[in-house]
Amino acid sequence: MSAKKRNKKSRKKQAPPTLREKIQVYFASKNPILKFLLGFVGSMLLFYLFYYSGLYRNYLEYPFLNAQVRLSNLLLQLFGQGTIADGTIISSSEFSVNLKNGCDGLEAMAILCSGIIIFPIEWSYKWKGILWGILILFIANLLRIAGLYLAGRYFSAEVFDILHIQGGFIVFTLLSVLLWFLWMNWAINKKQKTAVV
Amino acid sequence: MNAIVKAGLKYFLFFCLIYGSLTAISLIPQVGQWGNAMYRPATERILQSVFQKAYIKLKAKPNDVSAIQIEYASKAKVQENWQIANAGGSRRAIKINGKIYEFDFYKTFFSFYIFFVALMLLSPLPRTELAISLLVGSILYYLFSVFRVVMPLAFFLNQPEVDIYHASDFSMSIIKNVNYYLTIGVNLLVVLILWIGLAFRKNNWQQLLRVS
Repeated sequence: MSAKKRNKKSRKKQAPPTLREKIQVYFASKNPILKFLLGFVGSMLLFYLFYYSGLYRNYLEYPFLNAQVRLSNLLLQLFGQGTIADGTIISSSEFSVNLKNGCDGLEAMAILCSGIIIFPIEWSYKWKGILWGILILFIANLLRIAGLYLAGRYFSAEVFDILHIQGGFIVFTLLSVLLWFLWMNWAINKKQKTAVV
Repeated sequence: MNAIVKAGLKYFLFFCLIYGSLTAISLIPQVGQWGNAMYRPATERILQSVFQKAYIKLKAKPNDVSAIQIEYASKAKVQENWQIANAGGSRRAIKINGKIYEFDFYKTFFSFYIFFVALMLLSPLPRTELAISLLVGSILYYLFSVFRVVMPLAFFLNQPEVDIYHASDFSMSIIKNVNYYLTIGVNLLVVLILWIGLAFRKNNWQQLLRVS
């Protein structure tokens, strides 16, 4: 019997995978992702423990929000807006925004840092991602605050509300996820190139 | 590096296009009304089975597609009033005004569900798997959003003036803490966890940005 015929026969004998086998294969391919998710959730839990702790709420929150308000106000003044910064408020005679927790961009930064820390690669790649990521997100958050002020001043309260949740919060979080994926691609590429050299 | 940044920008533009379009559609009043009407019946049934000592009814708020009102009253008190009103053997109707808890349907469910759908549509999955993952994710996110409604309602139903449930101090402190932590940020985190869990497997995450 020729090899071709034998192959055909053995292929005919092979039964299609059962539902149980399909599920097993699916979860085997999911295994590293599920492990990664577990680490990611654990890392975010640690962040939230810090974020809601007395240490952050009583001592760090106000100075951090105040710094962001001052810098965003500076940005607005560069664009000719006659705004003043006072505590956590940016105001003018036409409109004012009050920065509260959740507007500080820290959750998005924590998502990025958690993703980078959990990703299985050497630390020499990680710290660059964390530093650049936090810097980009910090600047993006200043732009977001200034943009929300402008939306509130020149458009309606409805537009401000929509941008606050949709544009501000969701797109800002997407930016952090995107930076995370960009970093993973960069780190893997760089590692492969180093290995080849 | 340039190829990675280009791929990232391309993804961001596609995301903004899909998410922006879905958001614009969701803001059409008729679509909001439809979503609101779809959300209420199943949620009402779940809340009724969770809080069996209470009469619970979910209503749309007139002229506000983003709000859902939950009207609740004690079953025991309703029955007591019924017995008093019908003490003489006559079958008289009684009118009970329940208390109302109102929540924002968009902030609880719709906006974040759209975010989930946009993320899933841009995921590197074959069509059938995408459809199944989207269905599973939708159910899981819906259940999470119901949990977000259950917790504040549990707090209100345990208030002494409402007098429906009487949770211990320990249980009440858990309910208060869970409500405190259930922020919009946690909503986003749940969406991300569902997306990562459902859309990715061992080696397909590199296909997300399609870096050439």
